[in-house]
Amino acid sequence: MEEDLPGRYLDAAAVLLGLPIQPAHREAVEAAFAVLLAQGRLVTEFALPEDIDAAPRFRP
Amino acid sequence: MKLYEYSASALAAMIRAGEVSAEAVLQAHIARIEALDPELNCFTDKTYSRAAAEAAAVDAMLARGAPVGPLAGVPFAVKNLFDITGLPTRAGSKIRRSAAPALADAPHIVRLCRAGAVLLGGLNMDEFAYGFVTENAHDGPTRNPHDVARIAGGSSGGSAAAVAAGFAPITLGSDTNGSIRLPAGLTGIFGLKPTYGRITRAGTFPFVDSFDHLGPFARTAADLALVYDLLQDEDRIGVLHDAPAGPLRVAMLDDWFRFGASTEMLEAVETVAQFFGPMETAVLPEARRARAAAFCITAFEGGQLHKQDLIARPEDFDPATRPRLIAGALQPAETIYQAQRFRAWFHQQALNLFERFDLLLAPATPCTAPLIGQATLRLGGEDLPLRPNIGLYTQPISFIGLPVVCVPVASLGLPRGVQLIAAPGREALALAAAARLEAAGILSAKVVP
Repeated sequence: MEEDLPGRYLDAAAVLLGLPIQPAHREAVEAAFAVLLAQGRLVTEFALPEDIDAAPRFRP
Repeated sequence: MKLYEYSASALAAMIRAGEVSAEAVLQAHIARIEALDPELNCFTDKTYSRAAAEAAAVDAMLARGAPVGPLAGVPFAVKNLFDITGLPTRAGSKIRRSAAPALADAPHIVRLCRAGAVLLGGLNMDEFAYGFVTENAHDGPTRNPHDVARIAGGSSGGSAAAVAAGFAPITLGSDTNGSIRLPAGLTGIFGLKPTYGRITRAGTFPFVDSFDHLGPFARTAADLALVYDLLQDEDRIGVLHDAPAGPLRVAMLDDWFRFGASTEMLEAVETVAQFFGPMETAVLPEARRARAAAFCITAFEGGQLHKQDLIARPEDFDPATRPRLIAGALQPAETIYQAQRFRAWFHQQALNLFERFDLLLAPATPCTAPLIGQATLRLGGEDLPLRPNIGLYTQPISFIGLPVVCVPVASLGLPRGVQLIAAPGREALALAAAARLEAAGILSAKVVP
């Protein structure tokens, strides 16, 4: 099952976040998620200095 | 010259001088649209009746000697994510075709019309602005006027192709990851993505709050500056008059911004660089990760924006958009948080570069316009999916909200766009640089015959 971790994550996240994936759309969503995981890894593997804050602005 | 070949500034001057009526200018553009748009597919909505009334009002004001604005009688059109009174703001979707008609024009349209411009209608785009190709499943592809077998780029493809085809001398679009710069580059016209937050986003349908920008397309640098001036509030005087005199410190971006670029695109960048003096290069560190961070945030914010429709009516989405929005909405929170932190770090790296340089150069795209339906792109010796990868040089820049003028470098073949990237708030500098390149004959943005 190790190799299907992304698939298992998607199943769990779809239920927990209330965003079901229709069977007909599943393959395309998995492919898109695989690309996002690879891109996300590029981001999370980078060691940022501790004093960097997230960029979003609060708009009152 | 035909009336549809003139710039906005030239048309307004001719109308003000009484050399031609606003009505005649409008009819020339409508005839052009009706002749060519069945093939190019730029317009999704036409507002000809409104345009006729606006043109008649300009002619009436001139007849009684009343003052008119700088765009008196100039036809324009907008990407269909701008609110147009009486029309649903469809944002390239099937879902929003049944939305309530807009009760008012977007403020951008209000400002241009107040300056005398005449609204022709709404323009095709990728669904919800999520794409670089304008191959819309609901409205069909917009074709490149330079070669109708090729894409016009996206997501503001209709806006760019309309200017290149002579349907209007100016249009408006939006740019989240490159959606003004890509189509401007692929269709051979000027496009401006202003500094993030510089132009209001009120009255437009959003995509990604972190990165959404609005801006103009034109066939001259002066028209681009004129429209920008009308849309923004922060500069109190005309931007071309606000530009610094003297030589500019210009560098070509190296590393990521050359990766996979074709020889002709790199030559276009070098042509621009040589004009400003000895060729220097600079590296914007970790641009590949910046692009990745923009990619993840885009999918996340877009997915969250459309979550209720993805649950209730997923079949109504464009098949090219739907899986990316669903996958994006389900990403781990850590990715998005770290991507936003990375954004702050990367922004500082860019500011460091601007201590040494006024202007940074990069290709708008790795190649000239691909074919409609083309699935892959050859980058660095590898065939990669075209749709997510053709914006690889634009995404890191909009990620940190820098102003960019995309300029059309004169070419014997298909158009080649180069990004003139400035420090935040330095639109005037980039626009002035574009004007200098244009005056030197290095740029060319004529209506496609």
